[in-house]
Amino acid sequence: MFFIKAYPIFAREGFAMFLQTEWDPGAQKYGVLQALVGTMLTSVVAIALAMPMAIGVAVTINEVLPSRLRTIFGSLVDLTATMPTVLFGLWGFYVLGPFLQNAVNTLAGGAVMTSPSTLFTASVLLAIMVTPYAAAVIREGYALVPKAVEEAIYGVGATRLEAVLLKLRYVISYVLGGFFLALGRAMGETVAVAMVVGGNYAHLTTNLFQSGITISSLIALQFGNARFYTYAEPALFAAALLLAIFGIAINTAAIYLIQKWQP
Amino acid sequence: MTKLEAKNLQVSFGNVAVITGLNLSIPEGSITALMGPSGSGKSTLLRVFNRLIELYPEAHVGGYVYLDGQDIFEIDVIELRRRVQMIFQIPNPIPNLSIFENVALGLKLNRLAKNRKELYQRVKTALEKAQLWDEVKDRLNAPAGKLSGGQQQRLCVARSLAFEPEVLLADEPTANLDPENTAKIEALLLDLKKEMTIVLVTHFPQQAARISDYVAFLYKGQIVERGPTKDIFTKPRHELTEKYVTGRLY
Ligand SMILES: Nc1ncnc2c1ncn2[C@@H]1O[C@H](COP(=O)(O)OP(=O)(O)OP(=O)(O)O)[C@@H](O)[C@H]1O
Ligand SMILES: [Mg+2]
Repeated sequence: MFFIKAYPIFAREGFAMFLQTEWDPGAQKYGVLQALVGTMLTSVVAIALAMPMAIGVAVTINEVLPSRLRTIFGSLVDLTATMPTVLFGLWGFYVLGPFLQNAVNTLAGGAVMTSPSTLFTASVLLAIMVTPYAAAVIREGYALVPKAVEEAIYGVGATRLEAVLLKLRYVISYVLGGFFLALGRAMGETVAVAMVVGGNYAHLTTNLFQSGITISSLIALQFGNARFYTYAEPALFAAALLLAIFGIAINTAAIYLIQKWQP
Repeated sequence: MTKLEAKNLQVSFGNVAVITGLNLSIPEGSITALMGPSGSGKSTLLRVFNRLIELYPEAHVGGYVYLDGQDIFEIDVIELRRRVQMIFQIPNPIPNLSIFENVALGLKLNRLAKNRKELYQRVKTALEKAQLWDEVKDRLNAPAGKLSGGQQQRLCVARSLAFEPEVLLADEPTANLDPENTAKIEALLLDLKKEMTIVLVTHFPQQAARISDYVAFLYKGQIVERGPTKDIFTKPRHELTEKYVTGRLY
């Protein structure tokens, strides 16, 4: 379906749209490379921030909290994952964006971040949004470490920290599972990103502190507009197709690696 | 010389008292067999000796245990676990780590080997002592989970021996093994008592008779009787002990 819908643009210019960086239907420009780069950048940064947080949350819940509080806190974290993403978007726009702008500019000692809505804002927001997903998977795995293995680990004179790392290694398939789930979520997330990413369709930028665009937010923001232009709709379908291919690739890699590292 | 000594030891899980004022001294350089009915607290006692009991948040410990006269709760717990090693009824190598890593892990974490060569040498020596080396020397990098049960148990013995511990706690180490592997472990323990003090939990009176120097009989969280192995089997002083060694008490 996606391919059929996308076909006109491929027929017109082959795969050139994936190499061009300007989206301007009025000028017949349908480049999506900037969105592709934006998707990559925001998801990579988001995952880099989310994984330590997710591991921290999962380990804290399992190691620090008494077992009575474990379930409560676990469910609380899970709950944030089910909140409508538009709420995250609003919070990102009104609270997180200005806060980050302020923080970054203060730290850098200059106007590095000229707008509250940037690729960086989207990345941080994404990180916060996908952390509960990764944390839930890691937490589930972490709780499965058998007592016998725990005793083996402490029995050889491991410190608490060393034991935590060894246990995470024991459930590495869950850590990977959490990683890929969060990555998939981050790449696909639409509404919240569209609200804070800045919506810069026209320039390729790898500067996180500038306004940008991602594939899913491009589709969301441009879809209403697209029917006025012959090739805009096919181009958006082509972009969606690319996103789907990415998704499938990530899932395949995930399944392969998780199987391979099964405890 | 007394190596390990428990004084008025009490352990409870939640509000269930499991060890209730236990007194026991374990002589150095010998094998003490710890016998007693299921649920009498044998494994719990061993877990106090190396403080693995602290991995059970619901467990509360009272009283004293001395290692060479020093209160074990005052010794750094990691040092204590290096000195007091334990092997379990169900062999528990870390299955995702390699055979080599399982033995090397503790040495690495505690920085007990100066370099890779010394590490390798210590791992090799430990595996040789545990009579596993010949069977695994060509696949040291294979996951430990792939070994047979008997091999896994000897791997766990090697893991303990790598520390050159002062005390070896063996919790029914042969309960899940075939006669051949059982004989290997027994021979090994006999050999090891030259170098360390061994506490062996066993359900088999014959095993205790074969290899132990002393027997301590545990019943409902207390030591009912303790003495040289021969005495316990030929002239038990306590009725419960007699019943147990003659197979009339489980
Ligand atoms: N983690 C725990 N939580 C609650 N109760 C426990 C726990 N571990 C052991 N117990 C209880 O403590 C008592 C003693 O257990 P322990 O494992 O020390 O017995 P044992 O003498 O080793 O028995 P066996 O011969 O069957 O191995 C049992 O009644 C057991 O149910
Ligand atoms: Mg037991």
